[in-house]
Amino acid sequence: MYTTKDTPSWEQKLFLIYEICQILQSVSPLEEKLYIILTVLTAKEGFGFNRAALFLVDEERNMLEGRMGVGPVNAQEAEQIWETLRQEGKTIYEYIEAYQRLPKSGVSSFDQQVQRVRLELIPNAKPPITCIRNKKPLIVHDWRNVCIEEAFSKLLVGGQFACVPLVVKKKVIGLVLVDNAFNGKTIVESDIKTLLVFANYAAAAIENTMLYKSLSEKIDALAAAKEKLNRVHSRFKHYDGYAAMGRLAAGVAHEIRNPLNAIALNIQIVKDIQQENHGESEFEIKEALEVVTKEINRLDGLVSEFLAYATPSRMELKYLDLHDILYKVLKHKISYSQTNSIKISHNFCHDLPRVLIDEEQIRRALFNVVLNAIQAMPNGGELKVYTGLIKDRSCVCIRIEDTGIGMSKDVRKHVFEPFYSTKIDGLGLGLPIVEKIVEKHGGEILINSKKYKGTNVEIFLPAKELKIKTG
Amino acid sequence: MNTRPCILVVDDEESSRVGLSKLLEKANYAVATAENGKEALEKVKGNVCDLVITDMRMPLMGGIQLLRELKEQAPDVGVIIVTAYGEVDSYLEAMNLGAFEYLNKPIKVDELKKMIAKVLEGKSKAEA
Repeated sequence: MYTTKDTPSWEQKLFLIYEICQILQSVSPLEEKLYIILTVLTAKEGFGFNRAALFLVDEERNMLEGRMGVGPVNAQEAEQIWETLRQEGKTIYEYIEAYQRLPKSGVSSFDQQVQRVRLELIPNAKPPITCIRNKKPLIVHDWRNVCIEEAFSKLLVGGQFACVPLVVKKKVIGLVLVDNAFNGKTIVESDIKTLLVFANYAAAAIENTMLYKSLSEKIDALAAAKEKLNRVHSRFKHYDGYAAMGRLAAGVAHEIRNPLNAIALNIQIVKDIQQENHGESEFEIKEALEVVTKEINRLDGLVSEFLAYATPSRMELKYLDLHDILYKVLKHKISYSQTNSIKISHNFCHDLPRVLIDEEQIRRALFNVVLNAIQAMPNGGELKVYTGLIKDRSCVCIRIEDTGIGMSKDVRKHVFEPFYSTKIDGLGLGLPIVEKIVEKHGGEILINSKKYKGTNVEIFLPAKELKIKTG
Repeated sequence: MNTRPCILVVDDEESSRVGLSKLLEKANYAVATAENGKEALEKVKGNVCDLVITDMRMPLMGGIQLLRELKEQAPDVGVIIVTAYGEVDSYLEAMNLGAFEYLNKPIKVDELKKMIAKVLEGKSKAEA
């Protein structure tokens, strides 16, 4: 690469610059781009300089930093390299292609020397930094007679060297230094003009890579931030679980302690009566004990409801007619609804298939939904029950509509949470139990509600056997 | 003229409300009852009441809000908060608002009786 033989013509150089620029556009790592640039500057088919070094400006630190150097450090090494190159007889393109297999930067002595250069870009800096300040190329015929930056004098061997700035959009992003330290060929102005053309393209390629790198870093930072956000989000979801657990515990505490309180108070009443030994004590004791019994039954009911919600129960599945179950539930509730001026109507699908269900559990679920609907209409209203077959989804649907007080969005959000209740005497286990039963049957429950307009509950159950019901 | 101290028992749980009323009556207090904070405020406005024993969570108006209203409208009335929840936050809130004491359900009756005596004693000293 460092021979002076077969020096290419001006046209050949221009064509090479064109071809190399195409290659530079397709290469993305900065180190590889720098290697290609410096290889072109030192190859005999290229510019044929003995050595070339590239420095980049670090704007944040206001420094010029040595990034890569290609070439020998002394005449002996130069001879060895040229001999190897002669024997290999590779073209510049082969050298460029071989980049991946080459030892990486910092391996050659010259490269190491270049990478040690760190120079602050102060206003009164000496050559070759002046090249950056003036944005113009510089040829120093014998650097030993000129006052140059000390860091550069350590790199230089011969007398002459040249520098060209790397300029992009009127901004200097770096510097290329070349010399012919070992063959002593004089660098002339025409060499620099050609070098300027190439440096212009090289600068644009370097700038693109740096922009791409900066963009990649930002994308990585964004991805890391997103990942962090996801972690925080999942932690919050975890906290949500804790919060729900807290509400559940508070609900259990409330439901148990209230009856316990009544029991404790009434036992105390009995004790007080026994102490006082009143004549009419028998009636009072009986009354107090009735309260105790009532509260114990209440606790027992609570435990049963809670167990129905919290523990898995065995399902006794049978293919059953949902309408039969619905009739039973509605019949049970009709007497209640009559006293509250609630009109109950139904519209059942005539070809609803039998579905594989646990009768007792589904009855309980439908009972809870119908009871909620009736309780949502204290001043009367309309309760409509529909059934339907959704063949696409292979499931049946039971829709229970009321024209009651409805729910706010906030209440709707919590309806399936155990012990969440808006009713004065509600345990808050009704809908959680319904949801659990429906889910156990592989179904789904949807609730739509508007405050003061009413609520409609849709229960979808899988129709495992689409046998059309007859009669 | 009724010289017995008057206690207002506020609880939406009927069994608790009635049970506590009976016990307090047997302990020779005049007792009134209310099902929620709103009803309690009405009763306090219309009558002389020495002490309010109120549940925390009730419909229409809970114990904390009742305590706030009482501190403004009848600051001389002592307030004991009773709750089935036993949450630290609400305990601190109640005490900061000036509740005399905070009790968890089920109530320990002897403890409550001592507490009532203490509130009423403090009140009569303040009035003397």
